[in-house]
Parts: sequence; C-alpha cells; structure tokens
Amino acid sequence: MSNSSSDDEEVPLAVPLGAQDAQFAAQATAQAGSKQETVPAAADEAVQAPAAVVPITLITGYLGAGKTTLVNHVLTAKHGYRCAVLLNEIADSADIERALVKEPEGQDAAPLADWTELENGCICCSAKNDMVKALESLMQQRARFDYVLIETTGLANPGPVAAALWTDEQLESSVCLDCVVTVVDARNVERQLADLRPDGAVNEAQQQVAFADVVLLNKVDLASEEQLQRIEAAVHDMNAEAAVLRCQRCEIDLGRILNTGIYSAGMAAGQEASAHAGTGAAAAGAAAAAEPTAAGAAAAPDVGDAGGEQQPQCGDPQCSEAGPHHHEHHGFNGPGPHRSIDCSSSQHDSRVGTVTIRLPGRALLLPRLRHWLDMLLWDQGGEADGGAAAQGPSTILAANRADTGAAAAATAGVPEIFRIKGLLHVSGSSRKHVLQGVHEIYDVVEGPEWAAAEQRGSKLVFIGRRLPREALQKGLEACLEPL
Amino acid sequence: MVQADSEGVEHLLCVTCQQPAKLQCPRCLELNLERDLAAFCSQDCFKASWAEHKKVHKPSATHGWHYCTRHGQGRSLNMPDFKWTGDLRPARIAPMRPIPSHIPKPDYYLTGVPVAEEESRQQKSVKLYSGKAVEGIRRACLVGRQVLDAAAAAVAPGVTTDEIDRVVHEATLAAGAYPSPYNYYSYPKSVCTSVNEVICHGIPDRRPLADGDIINVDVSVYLDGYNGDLNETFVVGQVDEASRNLIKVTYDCLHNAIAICKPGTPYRDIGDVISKHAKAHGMGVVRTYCGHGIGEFFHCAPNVPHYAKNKAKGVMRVGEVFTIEPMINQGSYRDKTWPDGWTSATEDGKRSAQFEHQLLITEDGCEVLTARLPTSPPLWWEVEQGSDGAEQPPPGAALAANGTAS
Repeated sequence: MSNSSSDDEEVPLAVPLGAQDAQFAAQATAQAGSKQETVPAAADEAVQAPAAVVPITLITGYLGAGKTTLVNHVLTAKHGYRCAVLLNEIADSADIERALVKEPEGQDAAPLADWTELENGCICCSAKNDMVKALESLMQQRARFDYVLIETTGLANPGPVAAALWTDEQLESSVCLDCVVTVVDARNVERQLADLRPDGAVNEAQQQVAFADVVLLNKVDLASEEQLQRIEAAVHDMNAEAAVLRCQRCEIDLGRILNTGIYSAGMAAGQEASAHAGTGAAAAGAAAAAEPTAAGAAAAPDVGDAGGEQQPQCGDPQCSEAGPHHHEHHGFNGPGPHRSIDCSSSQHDSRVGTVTIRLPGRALLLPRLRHWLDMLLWDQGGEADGGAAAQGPSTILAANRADTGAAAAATAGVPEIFRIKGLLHVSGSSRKHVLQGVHEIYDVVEGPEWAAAEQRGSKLVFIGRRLPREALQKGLEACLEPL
Repeated sequence: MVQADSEGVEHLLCVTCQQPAKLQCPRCLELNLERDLAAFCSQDCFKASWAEHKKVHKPSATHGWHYCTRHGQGRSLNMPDFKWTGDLRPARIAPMRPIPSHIPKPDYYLTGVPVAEEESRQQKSVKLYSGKAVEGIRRACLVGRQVLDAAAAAVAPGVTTDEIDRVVHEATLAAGAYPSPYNYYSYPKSVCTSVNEVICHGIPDRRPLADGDIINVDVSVYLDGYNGDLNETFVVGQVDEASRNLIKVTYDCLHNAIAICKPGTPYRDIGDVISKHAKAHGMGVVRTYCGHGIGEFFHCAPNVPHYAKNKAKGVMRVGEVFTIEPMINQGSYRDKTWPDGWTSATEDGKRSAQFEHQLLITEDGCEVLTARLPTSPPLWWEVEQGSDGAEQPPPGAALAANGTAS
C-alpha cells in the first residue's frame, strides 16, 4: 500500500497513526541502511596507531634546469622507491586546486582533487594547512607510497611552502617535510645567479639555492670543470649547508634526497653543519681555512670564523691575483664569483650568503636564545589599524630599517633570513641541541649527549641576504651564560 | 504540528488544518522521517498538502529534517554508515533558518566561502587594533556573551540542540548581529553544540539533551563588521563526578593560559601551560583545532595551538586580538570527524570539554573581551558554591578558580 516509487505520482493513501507504527517502524529501520544519498560516508576505520610518516621532498629550480627530468627519473627508474609526485602548476603560492598527482605506474597526471576529498577546505581554527591536509588525504586513499615529491614549477620562493609542510610532530601528520632540493642547470645557472633585480628584490635563483638542503648541479656534461667548480663555490657561498651533487639528466642516487631526516627531531646526529659527503668540503675546524685547491673539493669551507684572518681562494674568474687576497664585500662575508669590473655595493648587498657564527666553550641560555630568534625572524611591524604606528622593529634590525613593510625592506636594505641551522651547547643540559629554521618557522630540539671528549660549543649558520654579521654575533653573545 | 493535551501528553496535529491528526504519510513512515511533519487528520488534508509535503521525501536543505553530509552541502535521508566512537549519533537537522534582510552579512552568507577572509593579509600577519575598532570588537563580544548566556539558560534535559540553535539564532538577530557560523564553509546552523564525546563543531539537531549529558555551546556573532567568539561547557541535570572534573580542569586550563597573556609572551607558550595542567590531571589536549586571531575576520592569524612544544609563530603585542579555546579529553587526545564533515568526536568515545575566551592584549596584560557577567548563569561549581554559601571548593574541583567572574 505504500507507494515506494517516485513522488511525482499521485498522493498515496495515508495510513493510521498508532498501532501499526511498530510494524512499519521495524520495516523502516531495516531499510534504513540501504538508501544512501550522494557521496558515501567515510569508510569504516578501525582505530589504529599512526602509521610511519611519509617524507616530503620539495623540488625547486628554474624552468629547464631539469626538474621534470628528475621527476621522470623518480617515476620510471627501477629504484625501489614508491613515490607519489605532486606537480604544482602554480604561480606564487601552493594552490592545491591546481596540483596534479602522478603515480608510479606512469599514467597521465590527474588532478589532486580527483584523488582527495578536496572540498572548500575549512581552515576554521584547524592546525594544518590545506596542502598538508590534501596530502594526508592522498596518503589515506592510496596507502602505497613511501615518499612524496612535490615539484614546484615556477615557485620562486619555496620558503613558505616548506615551512607549511614542516608540521609540528605532535600533530602526527602522516606527511612531513623532509628535504628541499634545488635543481640548477650547469650551463645557465651562473647567469641566473648573477642576474641583478632592479628594485633590490632577491634573485630567485639565489633564493632557491638558499632554501636548498641539496643542490643538484645538473647537465654537467655541458660545462667545463672550471665552471663547475665556480658554481659549486658560488653555491657554497650562498648556502654553506647545502650538499651539492653533480649529475647528468638528474640521475642521482635517490637515497640522497629521500627520507633524509633533516627536519625530524630524531636526526640530530647528522646535523654537524658542514659534514655533507657530497661537497667534499673540508671539515670545519677552528682555523680551517682551506688552501686554494686546484681540483677536487670545490666547495670552500666555512668562512667567517670569528677572528679568522685567512681568506680562501677567490672564486672570481676575472680576478687574476694569486694567493690570499681580499675583495671589498661591503659587509658580506666570503668570496664569490662577481665581476670585478662591477664591485658595486648594491649587487653585494642583495646577494644571498651564509654567515656562520661560532661560540666555543660557553653555553647558551635557551630561553634567551629563543627570545632573540623570535625577534630576529618575525617581522614585528604588523599591520596597524586606524593609522596607528606599527610597533617598533626588533633591535637587530632597527639600525638598518627606515620603515616597515616588505616593499620598504627591498629598498632600504633590510636583512632577510631564509634558513637557520645550528648545533647548540645549551646551559643546563648534557645534550646537544639542534636548531633548524625555515622561513619564519624554527625549532630547537634535543639531540644526542655530548661525548666526554667533545669540545662543547655552539655553531649557528644563517643563510639570507644583507646579514649583519656583527649584530648577529653580538646578539648571540648576549644569550650566553654569564661567566 | 504538536500539541500537548491537559495531561501534558503530546498529540500530533494535522499539517494542513491543525486539527488532531489520525493519519500519517506512508512514505514518511517508510523513510522514518519526522512524524510531526507527516501527520494529517484526513486523506483530503493529506491530498491538499501533497505537492508541498512530498518535498520532505527528498533530502533537502529547505524542506524537512535530514542528516547533514558533505560539510553542510548535502543532506541524506538516512544516517550515514560510520564507525561511531561513542554512544552519540547524529539526528536530523532542521531546514536552514531565515535571516532578515536588514542584518548586515559577511560575504560567505551567499556563497558559503569567506573569500575576503581567505585572501586577506591577515592570514599571514596579525592585525593591531586600537581606538574605534577595539570598541567595535568589544561590542561584538558583549553581544556574544549575552547570546551565550541566553543559550545557557535554555539548557535542560529534554531540550534539543536544535532548540538551542533557535535561541541563539533569534537572540543574535535581535541584537542586530549575524550568527558567524551560519553558512561559514556551508555550516548549516547558527551555533555549534557539542555533546559528551563530541569535541567541537557539533551540529544542532533533533536529539534531546539527556540528564547526565555535558554540552558545549560555541557562539560567534558578527556585529557592525566585527566578530565575537566564545564558548562554555554546561552540565545537563545531574552529571557524574568525572565529567564535572573534566569541565573544571578545562576551565582552569583556559584561565591558566590567560594569566600569561601580555605583550612579549610568545604564542607557543600557551600550549605549554595548557598541556601541563591537563597532563597533571591525566587528560588529553586536542591538537587538531587551535585558537585563532579574530576581529574583522572570523579566523585569521595568529594560530594558537593548545598542545606543548609547538612552533607557533609570533609574540603577543598590544592590540592583538585572538581566542584561546582548549579542548580537553578524558582519554586520548585524538579526534575523528563524523560523516557530516564537521562534528569532531574523541577517538576513544570518552568525553571532551571546552572553554573559549576572546582576548585583547593591552599594555599591562590582556582584557578578556568575552568575560562572564554578574548575570551569567552560574557554571556547575558556582552553583554549588552559591547554594552552600561556603568557601570550600565543590567536590571534584581541581583548584579554586583564580579570580572570579571570568
């Protein structure tokens, strides 16, 4: 008697309330599970312990450098790694709506939205950003990936994306940032690195190198040994912490860029700042300025030792002076390829570089250091309402700053910090502490115990632009435990 | 239509003519839909209403009561399949309530997406408020407080969360404000009501509150361009000691965190304070949801995690406005989201409580913009203190609350 077909038909016969309710109710309950509307509900999920974290490798670099080649290498070579590759056809930000996912089987890339329930992501006081949530959804749906590679086409500044992917461990995200890889083209990169931006804005090639944990120096067959050494020296100047791997067609051992543990709290032992095998750099010691090398180890060792007088070999191809000598660098440390015909301050001021500061023997007060890092990294000149003046900038930057704001920063020569790394001797602890910073996010975590024989001390490495070495040194010294 | 007779027994009334009903729509019965929308006195009345009535047989946001799906973008005739973590189940939700044209509305009222908020610079840097803007935010927070107090007064055994939504919706409109959750990313109601094992974002529905339940009511209002956001957890009737303890510990977590808020405090420290207190009482701190900047927009920078050892960016400065809203669980901190896409429940099915205030950082500390008023209905321990008039803390309380009416 009940009309179970379309409602468009005639009105059915109403049934009495009351006695038959029980019968119909039972019938209705039995049918209740069978009529689903549109999207099926989330599948039954057993309560399970969180699975191993899938590491994310972020790949950046100029168009034509070989990123696509690297991606194809990852997808097709028989290397035993099951990678998901996210191709991000984006302009300036991690616009996940335009992200494509490519599977190991090598089918055509499909939109990430097809893989995941990417609805208008509700930020709504959620701890994870959209890209992280999308990746987690991806991991859930196709639980057969060991690694995720994100290729950022055209993303000049990988900093914010990298920082967003570096989730707090407490969030137990199924994915986490593991390695930033910059691919450079041996034939073109020198020109790209030297390209001077008009308004003092950062050179994107330099910025990409600044954020790299690993630099793939690709297309080595198209450059001379001399060029390659110059490039390696230039990269090392900009980012003394990055490992540089020479390659052709991006054919590298993928183990160098996958699951490196660089951002994981557990990987403290490997954080000795200059101990990257790939560069062949000499181990840093207190006075270990290298002899000018003819071949082999191309990367200059850490420069800028407090009080270090020796300058390593000048990498300037135009410079004909032999033996240690000094070029005016207007506050920027270390040699680097530059045209000696144009030793202008503007070029040097805007160049990305590395400042290394050592504090041997004495311990740091961690709360003080944290406070100093907060002030250093976070642009405290926020957007003020009603025309009220923004709060004063940090003491570190005060001397250099005319007014606040990013546009002003470009013209007024304000320091920019892209990466920070450090191994710290912390007051009150027998453990080493590891400092890691990407863009605006940083963390200090406990590492292994200091060995009895080890000389305790701190070493901090800053990678950025217009870094005020003296001010940084002074600021750090103020964080030391009083004698 | 429902009417109670002289003995308080409810009888159904005919949908068409409001006379006592004797019949019901067979399709509604088959689909197990709401009976009071299916009752008729005669076949003639049934036939007369058929064209309109049959709309409830299809899942719809505008006709009939249905289960919410897809973040509020969908409706289902039947409860979705799901491995529920506790005893609570979703019930059907009512059609979306109308909002009169004279109420100023945010951009997402029409589209469901807060575009201006998403694109704002305030997602990256924290706005500093002063002068007239602060006054505007204060007013919004005061309205929020008054609306929450009205909701608190309505909480009682037998009252449905849909009824709480009605109270909040009407009180908000009466104050000339817009209920901020309404259509925010398609959220279908004007308030979040989170019962027992639900951590947050519970959707008001047909389920009546039961004696022994705990319920969090989270109110947000948008008044003259500014948002106010606050929430409290209430007891329903007589509640067991473990739940009372949970509520008080959560309240204290929030107030311990407020106590450290002043210019120069890093936002990451909030989580350390909250986590320490919760841990000391063997409870878990929810990590998925955080406090947030608020003012011109509903959610913006800064992000304020409630868990320890986080990497939150920023140091408090005069003029910053944000919420702290710890969610504390009796058992595991882990959460699981229901098929409606909003409701977040504890993974182990144990209970969760929450308290939220909106704060403004001032020269000497902070101002609690959503502070309780002398007229605010008392929280469970305040009732007990009031009734015995004594100074000893009520049973199950962790610590005496520092300070009074906020």
